[in-house]
Amino acid sequence: MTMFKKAFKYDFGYVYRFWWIIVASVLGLSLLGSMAFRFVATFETRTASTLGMFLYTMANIFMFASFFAIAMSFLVPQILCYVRFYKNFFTDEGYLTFTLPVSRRTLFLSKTVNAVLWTVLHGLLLVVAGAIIITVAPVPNRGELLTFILWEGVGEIFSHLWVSLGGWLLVYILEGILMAAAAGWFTCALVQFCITIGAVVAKKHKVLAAFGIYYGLNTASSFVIQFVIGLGLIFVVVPMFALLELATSAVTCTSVAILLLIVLMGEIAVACLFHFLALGTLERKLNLS
Amino acid sequence: MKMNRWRILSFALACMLLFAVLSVPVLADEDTSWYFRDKETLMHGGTEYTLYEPCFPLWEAGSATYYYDQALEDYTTVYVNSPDAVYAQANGYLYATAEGIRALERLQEGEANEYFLYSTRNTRVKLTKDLSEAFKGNGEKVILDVRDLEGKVRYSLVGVDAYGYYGCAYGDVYYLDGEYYYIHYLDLGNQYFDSDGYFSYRKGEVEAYRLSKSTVYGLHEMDDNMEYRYSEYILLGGTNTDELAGDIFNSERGAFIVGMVVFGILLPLPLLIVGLAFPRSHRKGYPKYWYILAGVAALWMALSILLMVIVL
Repeated sequence: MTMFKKAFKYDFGYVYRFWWIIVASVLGLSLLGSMAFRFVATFETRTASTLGMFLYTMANIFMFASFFAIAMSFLVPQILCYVRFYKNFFTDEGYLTFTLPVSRRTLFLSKTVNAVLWTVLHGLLLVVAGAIIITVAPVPNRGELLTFILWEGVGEIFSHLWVSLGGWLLVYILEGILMAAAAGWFTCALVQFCITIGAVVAKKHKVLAAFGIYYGLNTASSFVIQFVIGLGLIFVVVPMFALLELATSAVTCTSVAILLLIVLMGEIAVACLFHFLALGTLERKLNLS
Repeated sequence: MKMNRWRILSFALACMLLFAVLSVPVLADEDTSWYFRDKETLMHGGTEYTLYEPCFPLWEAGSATYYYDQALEDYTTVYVNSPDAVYAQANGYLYATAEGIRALERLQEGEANEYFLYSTRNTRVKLTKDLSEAFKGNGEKVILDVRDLEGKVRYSLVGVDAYGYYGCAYGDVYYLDGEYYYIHYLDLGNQYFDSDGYFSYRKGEVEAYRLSKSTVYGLHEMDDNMEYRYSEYILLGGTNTDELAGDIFNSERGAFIVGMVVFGILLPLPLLIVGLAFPRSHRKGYPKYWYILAGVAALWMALSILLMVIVL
């Protein structure tokens, strides 16, 4: 555990020194982008001058660019984690890494936990950015900078859900967070597996090989996942709700909670599989020469 | 005549068959299927439902249970409020018996059985009396531009029919520039409504009543006591799809069982086998952490079995 904490500290710090720049950029872009959105929404194009139309066009471009950049920012911590993973294990740095008094399993786990944690943290950052956008962007009644119209809608949705579900709402939110983290782990495990296989199989152009393997595996897994989800909805979810139509709310809520747990177990199982396959390959077949 | 055992047996068999044939009318089910006698008449058994087109839009009044059945000819779903109801909905149209039509006509003329105050959040509270006169009496009369009112409804004063299933909005309370205004629709002429019977916000001016502070305070108190409206739908027995009754894939129970077996037991099974077999493989010698995969797969299967037990 001590060695894991030490390894994790350096992995975490590697991304952190770039992440605060990302945080400032995302929050700044969300503020400016939502103000551009408000300008675009309230601008009268029919009576505008040439300069006004130019500003309107620039505001449109800036708005789309900022929202696109905010969405794409999700990739930055991921790329940083995977670059560190590749450099630490499959380049000359690996000679140093594997001489440390830390097992490969611990090093691998540290990088996996680091990637999943940054996924969750960046997700929270995007939630904050979204909150800024829905607070600044709506056009106010009396000219104030901030409006809370959309927040009232969000509040109504939550209060309606709370009245319907009670404490089960908290259970579902917790399960949702765990499912998001498990999905992040699956993505991370898949990428790490592809990088590991690419490094083991290819003598030259390891990165290119990893990209190719990832493209193939990601396409295949996406197809399988969509197939499973589609059939699962038809043969499990819809019949389940039909059978529970006359059941009490306690039975229905419990059944939904168990169903979400089953989905969570499925995500964890697949993530485990790729994680252990990558770890096994790293432990047995890696040859840095 | 000598009684032959075979003759006795034949006589007994004949009696049994005769008995079975004679009992058929007793055992025959009453025809309870739905069908359209013509475009405006829906039949169910001997009950006749006539197409009703209201002048003002009708609301589903509140917490109600809708029973649905499938008509014979084209599998149209019919919604009724009780197995022996006075109202039925099919293809988006409302049909009613003679009693139902009388109740709806009284409702549309302003003679409701009960009164409710509805909010825009799908909640309502029952009123002890019709508050429209109170709103008009306690308010200063003003003239408002209808275009300013669009999207500003906060509460609706709704009358509900004698059977409690349909309501009609007699007036709306609007929130505009920090004040509450009441408009009583029954006092207005047809020019204020569109072709579907909804209040029109296109253009014009309308007489409204600015509610006093005490009335607004009362409104907020009523808001705190509101309850959510919801409807539940229950399938009536006896669909006419008898030829599909034995097909397991067309019943929810059968589909659920098949789905859970495939996705809850068969799908994690290979993972369980891999997780158990790899550490035990002497040739390859995989590490013991593969047991974690087996544990997760086992938990997956256990939860699936638990879900099947609870649901079925």
